[in-house]
Amino acid sequence: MIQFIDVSKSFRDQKVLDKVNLLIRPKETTVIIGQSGTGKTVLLKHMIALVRPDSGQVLVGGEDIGRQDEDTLNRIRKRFGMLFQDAALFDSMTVGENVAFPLKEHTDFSAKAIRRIAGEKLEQVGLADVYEKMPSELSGGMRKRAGLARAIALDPEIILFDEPTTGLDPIMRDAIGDLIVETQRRTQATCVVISHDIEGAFRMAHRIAMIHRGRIIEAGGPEEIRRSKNPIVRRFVGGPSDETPPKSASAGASVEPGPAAGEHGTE
Amino acid sequence: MIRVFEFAGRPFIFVFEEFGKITFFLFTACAWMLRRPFRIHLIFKQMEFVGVNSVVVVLITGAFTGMVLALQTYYGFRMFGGESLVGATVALSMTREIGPVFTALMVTARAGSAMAAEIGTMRVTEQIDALTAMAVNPIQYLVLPRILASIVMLPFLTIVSDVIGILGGYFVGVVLLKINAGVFIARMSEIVVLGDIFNGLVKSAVFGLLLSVIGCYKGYFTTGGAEGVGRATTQAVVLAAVAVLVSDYFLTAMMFR
Repeated sequence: MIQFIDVSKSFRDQKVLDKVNLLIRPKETTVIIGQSGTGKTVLLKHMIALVRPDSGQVLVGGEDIGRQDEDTLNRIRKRFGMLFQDAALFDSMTVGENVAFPLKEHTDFSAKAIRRIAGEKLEQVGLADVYEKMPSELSGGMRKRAGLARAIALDPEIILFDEPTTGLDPIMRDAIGDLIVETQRRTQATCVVISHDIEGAFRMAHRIAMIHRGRIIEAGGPEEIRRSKNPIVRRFVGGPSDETPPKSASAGASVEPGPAAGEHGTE
Repeated sequence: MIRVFEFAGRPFIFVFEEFGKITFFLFTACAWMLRRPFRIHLIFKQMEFVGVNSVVVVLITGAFTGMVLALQTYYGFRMFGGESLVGATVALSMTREIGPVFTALMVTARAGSAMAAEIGTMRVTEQIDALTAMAVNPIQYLVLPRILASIVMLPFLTIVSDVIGILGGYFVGVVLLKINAGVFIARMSEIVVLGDIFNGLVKSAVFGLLLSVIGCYKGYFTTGGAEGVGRATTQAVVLAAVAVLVSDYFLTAMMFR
C-alpha cells in the first residue's frame, strides 16, 4: 500500500503538489489522470523517492520513504519496478543487458541464469528477438516494452508507469495498455499508471484518481469517475459538462481533500 | 550604491558557490568509494576510455610540442652559443610543465567533454533516475569510476607525452639541426632530476581529478534537454581547462622551489 499524507512539493516558486492525500491499494492498478503539467510525474516520482516532499509523508508499506537513509531506501526501491516515459534504457547497453541489469545488481544468479531470465522477460513483453540489439535500433513502442521487461525483471511488488502510452500510435497504445493489464493480472503487482490517455485509463484501471493543479480532486472506481459531478473531471473524461468550471478553478475549491489521510484515496 | 556592489559581487558569489558544490560533489563520490559493491570492471572500462583511447592524441601533441620546443629554443640559444642546452630545456619543460598540462588539456577536450555529455544525456533522458529507481547509486556507478580512472591514467599519459616529446626534441635537435647527440643527452641527464619527473606526474594526477570531477559534475546536474547537454559540455571543458591552468601555477609554486 502506498499512502500520500498532505504531501506538498514546490520547485522554486512553483507549487507542483499541494497537500496531496492519496491511497494506492495493493494488487490493483491505479491510474492517475490529469492534464500535462499538473504534477502527475512528480507525484509518481515521490513514490520511489526520486523526488522528496517539502512537507507531508509518503508511506510505502507503512515506511515514510521521504525520511529514510540510502540503505533503507534502496531496500524499499528493490520492491519497485518503474517504466519511464521514454523507457530510459541505457544507451550503452544492449536491450538484453538493460533487462539483465537489475538482476546483475541485486541477485546472485549465474550469468547464464540471468540471461535466461532476461530473455524470458523480453518474451513476456513480446520482444523475443531483440536481446542483442541496441536501444537506438528499437521503435518507440518496442522501447517501452523493453523498459517494461526491465521494470519486471526482479518481479517487483509495485510497478510504476510514467505515461506509458504517450507518443505512440493508437494500435501500439492499445497494445501497451493490454500489456499492462496482462502484466498486472499475471504478477498481481500493485500498478500505478500516470496517464492523460483517458480511454486507456478506463481500460487499465481498477481505480482512477484525477490530479489537477497539484491536488487530487477525485478518486474512485472507473464508474465513479465517469459519474463524477466535478466539472473538471467531467470535462476531462469527455462526459457532458453541466457547468463551466470557474476560470480560476482551483481543484481544491471543488473538492476539498480534507485533513484525513486517504480521504481521496482509492479505497 | 548597494546595487553596484550586488552587481559586482555576483560573479564572485557564483564562483564560490560552484567551487563549494563541486567540492561537495567530490566528497560525496569519495564517501561512495568506501562502500560495496566495488565496481572494478567499470573502473577498468573507464581507464580504457580515458587512458588507452587518448594515447594517439597524446602521442601526436606530445611529439610536435617537443619538436617545436627544440626548434624555438635552438634559435634562441644559438644567439649566445647555448645550443647544447636544447635537450635539457626540452626535457625539463616537458616533464615539469608541458607534458602534464598539455596531456590534461587534451584529455579534457576528449574525455572530460565526453563525461559531461554522456552523463548529461543520461540525466535528461531519465537514465540516472532509472539507476536510482533500480537501487543503484548513480554517483557510485557513473562518477566514481571516471574519477578514479582519470587519476590513475593521467600520469601514464603524461609519461607517454614526456617520452615522445623528448624524442621529438631529439629528432629536431640532433637529426635536423645537427646538435651533437652526446651533448644533447649528457646535458639533459645532467640537469633533469627524478624529482622533476615525479612532481610532473603528481601534477597530472591532480589534473585528472579536476577534469573528471568537473566533467561529471557538469553532466550530473544538466537540465534543459539537448541544449542543456551542449551547455554543460562547453562549461565542463572551459572550467576544467581553467582549473588545470590555475592549479598548475599553485602546484608549481609549491613543488618547484
